[in-house]
Amino acid sequence: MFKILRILDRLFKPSVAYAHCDIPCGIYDPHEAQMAAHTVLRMTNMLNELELASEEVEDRKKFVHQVSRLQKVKEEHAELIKHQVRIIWGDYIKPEHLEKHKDIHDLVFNIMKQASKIRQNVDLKAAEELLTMVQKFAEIFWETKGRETKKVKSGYPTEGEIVLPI
Amino acid sequence: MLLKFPFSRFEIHDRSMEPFLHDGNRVLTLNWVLPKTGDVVVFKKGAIYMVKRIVKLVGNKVWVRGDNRLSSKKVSCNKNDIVGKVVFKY
Repeated sequence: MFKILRILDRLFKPSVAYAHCDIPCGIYDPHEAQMAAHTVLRMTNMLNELELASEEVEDRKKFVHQVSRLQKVKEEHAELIKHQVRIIWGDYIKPEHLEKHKDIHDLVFNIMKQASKIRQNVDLKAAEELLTMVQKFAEIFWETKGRETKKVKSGYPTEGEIVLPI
Repeated sequence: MLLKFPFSRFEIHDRSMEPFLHDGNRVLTLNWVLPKTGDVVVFKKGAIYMVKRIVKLVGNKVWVRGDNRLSSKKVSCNKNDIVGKVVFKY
């Protein structure tokens, strides 16, 4: 039975059923998604700045090693963005929020697509666009809680901003 | 109930059903059943599917919770939202 199901899975991918952790109960915050977006941007910058010192084997090894590390962190944080945004969208967002913010589903869809695109390329413009989308998501989230927001300097090496409630 | 396909397959993401289900497990649901308290079910919530255990049934309302009590709260859904009962893990 196991083998049959696994073969079937290869032909027709199973749907995802989420058994997510929702601690702390009812406490949602898009801050981690924003931090992850800054991390993705930072990794993209670092990948673009990386230079091969020479064609010597040792230098090539160091270069490949560093690219691997930066890419791994970029991929992990792109997935973290998707995870955090999905949790808030799937668990917190209610019909009354959708009435006021009709573009939430499109925004979440675009964030998912953009985060996947980021994983596939070293694309600074795409990383900046992803950060902008996540910031917009954060603004909408806080608005649903009746909180105004402001953009403040993050203090991160990306020199970008973070959306915070005021 | 009979309009549903009898079986469905799902891949589990996240951890609130540990130790019964772990992230990455796959499950087969039997959809032609009437769910009861104690059953692990997959249900539709908005645009996504979720998997939890039934803790209480009151009329059409179903209360569900993850097995990982440290990381799950009780939530509710309608009986009609239930896709099926988890009968096999693989």
